Amino acid sequence: MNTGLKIGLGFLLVVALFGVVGVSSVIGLNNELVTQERGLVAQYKQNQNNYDNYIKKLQEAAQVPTMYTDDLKKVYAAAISGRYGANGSQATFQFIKEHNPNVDATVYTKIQQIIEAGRNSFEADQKTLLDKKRVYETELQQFPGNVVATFLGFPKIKLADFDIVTSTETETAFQTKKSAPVQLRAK
Amino acid sequence: MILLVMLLIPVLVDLGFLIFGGKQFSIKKFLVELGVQTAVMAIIAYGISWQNTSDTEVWNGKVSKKAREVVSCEHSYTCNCVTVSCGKDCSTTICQTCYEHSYDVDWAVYSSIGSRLTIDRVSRQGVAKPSRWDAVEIGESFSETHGYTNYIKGSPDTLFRHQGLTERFKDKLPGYPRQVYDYYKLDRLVTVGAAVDDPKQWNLDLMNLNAELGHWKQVNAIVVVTKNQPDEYFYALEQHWIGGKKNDVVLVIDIDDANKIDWVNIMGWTDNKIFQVALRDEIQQIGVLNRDLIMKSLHDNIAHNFLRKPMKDFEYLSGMIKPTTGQWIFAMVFGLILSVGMGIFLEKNDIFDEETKRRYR
Repeated sequence: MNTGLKIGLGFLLVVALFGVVGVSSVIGLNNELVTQERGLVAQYKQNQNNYDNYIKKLQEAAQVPTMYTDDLKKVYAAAISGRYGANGSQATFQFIKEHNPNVDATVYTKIQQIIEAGRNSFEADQKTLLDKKRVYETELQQFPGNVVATFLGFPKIKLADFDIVTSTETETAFQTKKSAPVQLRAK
Repeated sequence: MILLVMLLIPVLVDLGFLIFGGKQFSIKKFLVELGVQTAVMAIIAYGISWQNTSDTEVWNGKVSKKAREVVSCEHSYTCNCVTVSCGKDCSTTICQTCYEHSYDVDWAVYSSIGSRLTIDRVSRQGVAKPSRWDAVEIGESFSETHGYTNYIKGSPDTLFRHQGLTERFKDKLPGYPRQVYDYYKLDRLVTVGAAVDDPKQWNLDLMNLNAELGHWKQVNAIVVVTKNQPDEYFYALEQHWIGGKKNDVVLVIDIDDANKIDWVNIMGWTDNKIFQVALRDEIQQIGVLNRDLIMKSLHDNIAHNFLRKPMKDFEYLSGMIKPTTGQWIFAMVFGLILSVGMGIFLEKNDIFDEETKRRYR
């Protein structure tokens, strides 16, 4: 075999090898990005589900009448997002006391545990959402995956729609770079 | 993609041999070199991924059965050798395989988690009953280590791992308790600067608790007792143990000089957060390091509230599991040595008899 033909054939083999491995990688990346996008959407819904689930648990434990559910949701939202600081659950207690004065004092411990567990669980779900978003965005931006991802038309979802829930106070603190000290006692 | 990058150097070297290797380096040899290197680099890429995510958890259950089992003899030797002729000026020796005994005896122990182990024989054939096998009790706790894929371990940047906390406590962070001894026993009380009364009994209680709940709740309960440590110690330990194994419940209790409980925290991957809050509050309420009350609370809370989080929930991290800088360097250097070594070997050796055929053409 003459040298030119041999070298040409060699290059062709290398191109074929990289072609096979490359096409497999592109298919793999496409499927991975689709899985990650679906995972993000599912996690976002799971966060809503988690939030709803703990509201129900709290309502059940506190035996607050159903007609006050929407109001309870607002107070609970404030408690789990830490809007009232370290003693945030006090507002929820106050609300429950007003709407169900017959609640046994011992039930308060259970309510406190539900609120804290709800906060921890919601935080874990928000962290998962952030982590999934981080993984997805890293995949989209890392070379050489970014070239392939752009070619395949990713992202196919609006990533801004999948932000975590924060309170106005948190957003203000991060915008102004100033945070008020936690008030343990009401003035 | 990782495999493509790993193949770059070997392929360039191969092309170098093909271009500058002359007639000795044929396209056939080039194909062989390319094939072998692709296979080897694929194995290395898989091995690196496995190394980064492989982890060990502890499975717990009870001894469910013990049995004396007759098995085929394991002690073979060559025997009845005869020399036979294989032609003119040729002879060979043919032997048979004989066994020392007509059978051997295994002293087996079975567990409720589906495993089987054998107690060491006290005689070669195993006919004599080992006293350790005699001491095995049906229903006693049984633990064994089990490998699994830990996506969190392989993803240093995940939000589920703390960063930069261990430095402050580097001399006070204990190793993870995974050492199974005496066939199926495991101690799970870990103390850090704290003197605990009767640690043997603590470990026994933990073994019994895990025996009862381990299989049912898929749990491995561990107790860590520290003395006069700040709250942040817990997060440093969490970082050090990478959040614990997927079935772990690690109850961390800090006590003061008078054995009064200072703080309590629970490490574990459960999705049911009420478990951690309720257990923490209960232990905190006990007030002092009372073994019986702590074990009862741990038992009841695991039984009622613990729900193991499947590792599949973290599968989304698999795309982020990449080789470390050291592993990249290893793969690249290995690829270079392999391609150069193979290239020189193939150039110097006429493995397909191409040179001979060419000469006689």
